[in-house]
Amino acid sequence: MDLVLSSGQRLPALARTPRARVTLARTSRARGTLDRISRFSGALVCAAALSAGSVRAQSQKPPAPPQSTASGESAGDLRGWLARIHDAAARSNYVGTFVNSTGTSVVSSRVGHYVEGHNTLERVDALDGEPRSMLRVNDEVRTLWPRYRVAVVEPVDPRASFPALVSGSENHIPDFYELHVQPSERIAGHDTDRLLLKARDDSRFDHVVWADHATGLLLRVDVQVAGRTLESSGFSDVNIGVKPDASAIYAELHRADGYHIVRPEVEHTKLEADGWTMQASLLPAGFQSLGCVRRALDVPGVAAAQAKVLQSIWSDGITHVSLFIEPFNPQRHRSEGLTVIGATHTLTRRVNDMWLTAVGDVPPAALDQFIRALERKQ
Amino acid sequence: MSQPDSDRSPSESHRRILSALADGDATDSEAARAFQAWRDDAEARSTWHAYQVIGDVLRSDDLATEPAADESFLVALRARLAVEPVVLAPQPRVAEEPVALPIAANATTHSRGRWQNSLAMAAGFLAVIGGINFVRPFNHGAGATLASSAAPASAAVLASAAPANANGIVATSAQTQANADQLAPYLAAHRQSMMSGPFQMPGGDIRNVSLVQPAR
Amino acid sequence: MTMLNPDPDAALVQRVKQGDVRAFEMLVVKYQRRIERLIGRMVRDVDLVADIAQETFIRAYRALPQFRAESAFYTWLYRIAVNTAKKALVDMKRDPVMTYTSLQGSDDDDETYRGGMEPTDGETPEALLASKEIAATVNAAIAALSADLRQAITLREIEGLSYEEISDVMNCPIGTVRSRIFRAREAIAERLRPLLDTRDGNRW
Repeated sequence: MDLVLSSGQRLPALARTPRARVTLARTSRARGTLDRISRFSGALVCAAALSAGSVRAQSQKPPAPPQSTASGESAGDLRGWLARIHDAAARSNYVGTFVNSTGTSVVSSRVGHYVEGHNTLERVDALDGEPRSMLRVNDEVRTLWPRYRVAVVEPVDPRASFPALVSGSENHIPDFYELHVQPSERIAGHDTDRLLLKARDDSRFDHVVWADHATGLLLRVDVQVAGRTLESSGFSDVNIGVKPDASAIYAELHRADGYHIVRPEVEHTKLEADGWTMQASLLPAGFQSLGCVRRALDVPGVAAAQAKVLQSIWSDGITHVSLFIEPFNPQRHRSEGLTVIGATHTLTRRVNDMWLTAVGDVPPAALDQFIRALERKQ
Repeated sequence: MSQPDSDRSPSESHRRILSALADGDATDSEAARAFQAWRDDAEARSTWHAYQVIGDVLRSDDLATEPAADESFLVALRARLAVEPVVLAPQPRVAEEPVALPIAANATTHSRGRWQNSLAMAAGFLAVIGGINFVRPFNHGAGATLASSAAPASAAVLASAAPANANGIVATSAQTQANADQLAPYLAAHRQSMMSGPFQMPGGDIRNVSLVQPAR
Repeated sequence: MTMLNPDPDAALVQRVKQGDVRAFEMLVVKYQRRIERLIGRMVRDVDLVADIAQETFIRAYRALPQFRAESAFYTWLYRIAVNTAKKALVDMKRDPVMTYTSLQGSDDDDETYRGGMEPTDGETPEALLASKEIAATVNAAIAALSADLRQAITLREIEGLSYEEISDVMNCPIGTVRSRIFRAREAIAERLRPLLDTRDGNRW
């Protein structure tokens, strides 16, 4: 039976041959988180999106690294680097082991990314914790939970909140991050260009990125403050330029044929629609709105209707912040304060009859500004 | 009478702080500069090596080695280190440190968590946790229970939290447990929202936040 | 009576634990020779000594999150080296070519070993000559130092006293101790640098 994705895309039925399965290399220290990968690449992809515009390069050869001046810094260089990194993310075929290190531990996942004709496919398998896999075909992501036999299906929203920020004239990233080209290093067996995106103010963190010299593919990102690494994410091994293996993804999707399908509802809206507004003058510099959604949080033991929040999303081009707004609920909302996990900070606060949660890889003072900037429209 | 630092060449300045660092006598800011020099300045690296060879030979003649051998040793090791995941120590729990407020905006000694402390005071609560292991898939659909009879993996598992300090920051383990439970869905939603946009990403997003295993 | 000194490597170890891998290299450069000599007393083949030493540092790097400052870093590293060498010997014991001295025990203080410079297998005469030249140069430079500088650096490197203890012994401010040790190092390094620079220039 053919598998039909919500986009209408039809995946042909496959003969179930064992060969179609991707073998996972379980490292002796295998542990996993998959969402870190989106952060690892997402941060820079957002940046690249904002700088590169919507046109993808058509040529096969990856663009050469930007020639930087001896001092290593210029706004055009930064945009050039980001564009290259973005291109590589979009075009590369690779397989590797991805490791995220934060605070007390190290977690890893097995990642594959394939571009086959007009299709982009992706597979991420957790090497740790609850067995689960994320499979993406173009604009649709399925997360499979084999022990629960549940498949969570979500779109990668093509209706970008980005377009307003994409045109080059509105790319302000160099205003907030200073580029330093640093001595190159080898990561996972590849020569890389190492860049430091140094925060120009206290509202954001420094990012150190390593991009494969030959292709521009992002191999590692560290989030730092004052020279201290808060979190490190990167490949411990990666094979770039593999032959695309779409069957690895399709076969896994077919395996999940009998699973219970869950499609979370995410509704695009505006802050103003609910009577809110953000005072621009109180926000940290450089953060622009990526939009607002209403969604149900996945809270154990709580029905969806009771867990609805408004999520306002902001970005400075490199990192982003979510501000969650909901009515205060004394049963659920008990701890007010700051929590730190690696580079991610979360600040919760009760304001009148509302409960606000600000989340992001930014200093807590910046989260505080987001909370303070929210006000009721009159 | 020591020379003011401004009269010294950067090279000599590096050498002085490397000498101090070799003996464990460098201040925080000197050490930071020394680490930067190690990264950026080949001459500083040679100096450190020279100083260490001097110390070794002072102790024992047979610790003298052929310099090329030392170099190739480090170069080979560097290649192996490059493929190791970066090891990070458990973050210091802020509650263990004396909190000195107000903190000057241009303070040069970066005490750990300076930028966390002042806000944490205002926020009234601070927890630094290893992570959250949120193992249940999306909750709202029917049938989100384990298909097999195996026991479900543990839910929120955390690094232990710090006791209250004199400033009243409380982070008992029960508190932190509850805190992590509360935050996991927000973190999941935050991460998932990062995927929106017309652009493809090298990796993907897993449906729920499943961060890290706890410290042993 | 000496007091228990803080580990001089503490700042370096801390830095590595904060995610700066390059800082670990500074520790490697510091201890590589001692660790290789330690291993060389258990294993004769010079290539194998280097391999085991590499393995030692990698294991130390990986285990660093578990290193709490209950002992000095070098003490901890020393134990890792001994264990790594032992393991290598066990893995190799079938090899008839290998000869090795038995382990003399982990309490052995290799710091005071002043045996002759027997070459380990595989070490070239050129390498041996180069290292002898370095030793000779350092010793000559020490002899040429003024008494103050020589005493300061000797108390630090051979006796292992802290700056504070040295300032007591030499009856001078700590700043002077720091300056004397620096000047002593620089005087010796000036003679040493031409020998340490390799043909290919800095590859560090």
